[in-house]
Amino acid sequence: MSGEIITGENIDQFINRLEENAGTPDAQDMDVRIEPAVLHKLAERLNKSPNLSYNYLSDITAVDYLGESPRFEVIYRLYSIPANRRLWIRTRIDADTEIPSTANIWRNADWLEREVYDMFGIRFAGHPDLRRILTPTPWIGHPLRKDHPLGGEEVQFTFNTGDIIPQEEFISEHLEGMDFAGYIENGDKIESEAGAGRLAELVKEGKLIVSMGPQHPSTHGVLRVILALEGENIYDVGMDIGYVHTGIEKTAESLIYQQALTLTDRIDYVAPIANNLAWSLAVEKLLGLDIPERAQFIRVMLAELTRIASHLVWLGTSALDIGAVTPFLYTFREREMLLDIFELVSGQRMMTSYINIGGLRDDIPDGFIEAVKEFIKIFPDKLDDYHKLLTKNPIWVERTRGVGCLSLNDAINCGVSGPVLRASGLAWDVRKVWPYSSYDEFEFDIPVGEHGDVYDRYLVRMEEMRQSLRIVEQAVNRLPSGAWRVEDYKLVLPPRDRLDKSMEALIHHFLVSTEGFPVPRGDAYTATEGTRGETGFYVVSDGGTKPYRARMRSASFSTLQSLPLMARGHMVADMAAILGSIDMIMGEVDR
Amino acid sequence: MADNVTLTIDGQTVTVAAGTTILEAAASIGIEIPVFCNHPKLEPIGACRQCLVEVEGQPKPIASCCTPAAEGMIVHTKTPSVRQMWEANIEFLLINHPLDCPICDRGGECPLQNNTFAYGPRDSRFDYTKRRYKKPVRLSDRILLDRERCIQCFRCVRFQKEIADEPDIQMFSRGYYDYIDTAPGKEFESQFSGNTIELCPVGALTSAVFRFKARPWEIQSTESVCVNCGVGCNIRIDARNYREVVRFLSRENPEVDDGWLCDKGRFDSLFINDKNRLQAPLIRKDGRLVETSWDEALETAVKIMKDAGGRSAGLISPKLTNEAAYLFSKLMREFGAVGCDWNLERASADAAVKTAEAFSEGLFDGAIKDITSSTLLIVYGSDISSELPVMDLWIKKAVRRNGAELVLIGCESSKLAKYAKTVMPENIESVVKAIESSKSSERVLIMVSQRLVELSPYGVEILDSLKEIARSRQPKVMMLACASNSIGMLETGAVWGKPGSEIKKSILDGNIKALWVAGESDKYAESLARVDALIVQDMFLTKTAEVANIVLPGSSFAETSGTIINTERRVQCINPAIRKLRGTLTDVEIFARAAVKTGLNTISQTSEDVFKELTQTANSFAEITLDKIGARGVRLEAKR
Repeated sequence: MSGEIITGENIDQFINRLEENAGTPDAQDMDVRIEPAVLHKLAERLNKSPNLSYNYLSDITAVDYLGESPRFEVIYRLYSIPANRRLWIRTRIDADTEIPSTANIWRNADWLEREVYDMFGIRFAGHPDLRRILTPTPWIGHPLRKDHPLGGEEVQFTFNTGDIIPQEEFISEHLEGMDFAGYIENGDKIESEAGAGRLAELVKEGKLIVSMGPQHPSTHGVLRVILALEGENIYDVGMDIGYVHTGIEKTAESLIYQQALTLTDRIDYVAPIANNLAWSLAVEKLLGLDIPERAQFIRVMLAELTRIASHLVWLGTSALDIGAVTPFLYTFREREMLLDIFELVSGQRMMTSYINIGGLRDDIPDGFIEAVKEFIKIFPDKLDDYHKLLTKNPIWVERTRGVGCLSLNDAINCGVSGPVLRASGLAWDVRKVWPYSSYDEFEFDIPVGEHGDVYDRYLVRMEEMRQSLRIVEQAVNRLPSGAWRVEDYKLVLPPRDRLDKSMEALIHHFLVSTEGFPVPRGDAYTATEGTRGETGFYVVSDGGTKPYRARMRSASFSTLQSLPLMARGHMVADMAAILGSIDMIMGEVDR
Repeated sequence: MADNVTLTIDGQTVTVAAGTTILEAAASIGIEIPVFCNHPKLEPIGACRQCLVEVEGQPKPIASCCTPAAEGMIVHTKTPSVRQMWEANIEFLLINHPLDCPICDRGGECPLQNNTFAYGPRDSRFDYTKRRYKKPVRLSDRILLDRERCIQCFRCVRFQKEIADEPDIQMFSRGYYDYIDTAPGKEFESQFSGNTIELCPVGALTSAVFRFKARPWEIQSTESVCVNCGVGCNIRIDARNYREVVRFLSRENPEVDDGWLCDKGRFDSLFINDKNRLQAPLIRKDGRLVETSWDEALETAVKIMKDAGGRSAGLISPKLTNEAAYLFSKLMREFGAVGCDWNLERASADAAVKTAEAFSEGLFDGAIKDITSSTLLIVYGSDISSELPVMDLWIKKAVRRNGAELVLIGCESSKLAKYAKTVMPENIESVVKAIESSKSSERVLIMVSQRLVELSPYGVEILDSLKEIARSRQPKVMMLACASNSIGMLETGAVWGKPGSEIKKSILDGNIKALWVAGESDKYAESLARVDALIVQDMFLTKTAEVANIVLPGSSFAETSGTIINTERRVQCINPAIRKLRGTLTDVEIFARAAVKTGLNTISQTSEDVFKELTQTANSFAEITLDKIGARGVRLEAKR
């Protein structure tokens, strides 16, 4: 199927071929190019046909190949969960071509298509509500296009004070036409026009519209939830995101690969190491690197400790939101131990950038294994303590049982992954399905829920912490000796003591630090099981030292879309519980 | 055919002209072979051994830079053994190379670094002591030599010998003890020495002026043109952090500068960074110059000139752009000035008129690249080596490589005299004689100084003779321009009324009450000081400015955009590399604002608008567009 483009002419044959070959090894990983017009037909068949059942839409994204014609490539990544298969669909279009929307097939296509529209200006025909999602409403232009102006406000130093373009000039030069003042003034009016008039309808029907957030302790980040209420009951839920959008994907295009790594810590900022790992794996795939085993084991160790650290934040804060104040102090006490471990290994408590392309930043220092062993020793009892506080606590059960239910079908259709999906009843974990970084050498279980309510999600994450600890213990006990990174100075920096002895090492240090290393042309995506679900980077390289496109598949982005399904019919007070149980991180949602 | 050769490189066939080296043949099909000593403008010498390739049937590796391609040759550059050779050669070069990258100006734009990363070893096996030299060695006030970094590629020595013919530096000693030095007691005097900095593939020869000023990634480069002489060599202006111009580099224009830049253009223009640059208009109040606003300064200047009316005059520097000259001229006409010129020597207005005629009649059709395609070169009235340095290189190329004959008329003390077959007395008869005694088959290029044609009392006579010669023998004729845009002054109509010498006489007789001098105000300081009311537009407080009534701070050529016309009548664009210095305005802005204050409200305000107007009003600019000018410029054509 390579080189073939699926059009209206051959789509039926193509689908028949797919059905016939469904069980073969060739069908495991496929990559097809199609004409945009056949997308909807193909998507429906892929989703509905029982042989194929590509029921999970992982991501929709685009790349601007400015200078080529057609200019944009739009990429869909589909999984068939029952059959563990992956399918990439690509289509090339020009700026003025519309693509059929698949939002009525996979629910998370809604926001994914809105983001592609926002960032690239590509329109999706039939989308229920195609408007900007990450950039603010008055924004002009599509930021991820290669010809979007990069203008920046000049940073003030002593040497240029007095010389800087004055604020008003900057605003008019770079933000010409974007009427922020008018937007702020007329905000209400604009908001009711947005949402395809939906809000206006609801108001007419007598619903009370209340904003929960963007500034709210229980929204776990800067999220605006728009509630349509009948008294205390939630009739419907809308969301406004993009408050924490800092243009990370765009920024990465101006940085060399090692520098872009430091951006990744800040995306899912509660589990920074997990993002470092996802980025490194994608770039290492393009480079064709084999990471030494010791480095892989240490990566696993840290990724699982990060999972625990992240779940401790989740546990403490989501309990706090419902009113259970006590667990918070205890979970953060244990988290401190983990932050100390991260600081020991990298000098940083949170944004470690410790997992690097090629391996690790440095070998683990003395004291690391002891610190980890100490944590392994004390943590199971602490976990039991948390259980004692909550699991059979009648108030806790009352506030979480049967609240925020998400059926498995809905979950899959929304592209939900991670603990939320597993709580809805499916034992699907990237570490098991498509193992990476030596995860297949570890024994661990995947906790699964039954009802998909807040309580099940609580239980799933609690058990995940125990399982993560189990992995860490195995990694500590079986840690191989040897290299902790690929020792190739054309990729990684030489040890400092070589810099005053070796001319070659000095030259390579100079160039790798300043210009970066070139990455072969191509694109790659590696999925990882982040703390919130499927997390991965889709990286496109043009052969240079900076990523041409760095797209993050964010678990929270898709999962958050299922919020209305969980919240409808509940009461306002339940929102805190439901939001807490989703455990989304807005840094990951907005990037 | 005997003229072409077909060979195979890495499985790809390519046909090239006989004599093409394997290296060149490979480059023509996009196959890159690393080099150090090789350079497209220098004779290959096979010194560095980096370019070794495998040629089937040959027992040893072949240096592709100095081996001509042969029919049926099969060449390999991608085999493991070739890659091993490349890696090993770099290893050899790095053995004695000092660990200077952190302090070496070349770092970040260094062929040795780049080739090491692409083809060299990852780490060093050398455990011994490297050879040491005292460093840096001051070869001149512009060039510093670091002998430890030198990889003995001989590029610098070859340039001085083959191109500049000023062999001020040589390689001494033998083997890896080779080192560069000047003759005892002498400095690296050549006025082209700066080119060796760009040629040197490592940080051995570096600019003393640029030393430690910036790293390449801090630099923003702008394409522009040098304004130090009439050649108009294409340059790259490098600024650091958008703020400060730190250096000037060559920017090859094969038809203007052949890739070279003289030391004036490379080093002398940094005066624009001088702390003493004026940053506010000055006005004389109570006998002293005090700072004032642009409005007051311009209003007063306009009033002074208007009041003087027919007893005012305008003097403009021939380095200013066409757009500035055009507006200045309009402004002076508005004041009713008695004359407008770019010098105080012009003998008669007739010569200017006739020269303009000659331009439009296509008399001056010679191009710089005609120098190397001519067999007889006649240089009349100009010491090219000091007035238009890079033309000196062109002429040397023509004489030494192509066997052209050089006849020098006047300027017998010029550096070019030693290449001349004959040196004749400086008058137009010599030109006629030189032509008449030449064979009719010669391709002749007559280069005649603008000073003689436009400014001297003999201008009309010279032009008439040249026209006569042109009719009978059809030589190419090129004007040797006095300055970077002295030809543009005439083409934009900025020369009219009383000629320069008469303006000067009027000044000395006390008949010029007001004079606006724009640029180079210290040139005629003595004369100008005699004017009652002076308006001085300059970058510095020159002697003339000190006695002025109004001083207007101008921007430099590196802060301006506009067009200029070089000696072969090529229109080129200068572009701003940095923002205007705070408090200054560009010449066009000054003239436009002043014009508005005189009541000329519809005057074009920007360089681009003035340029458009020029294309609509000036005949010679009629076919020119900014697109056509592009990065290389376009010559004004006029058919004979």
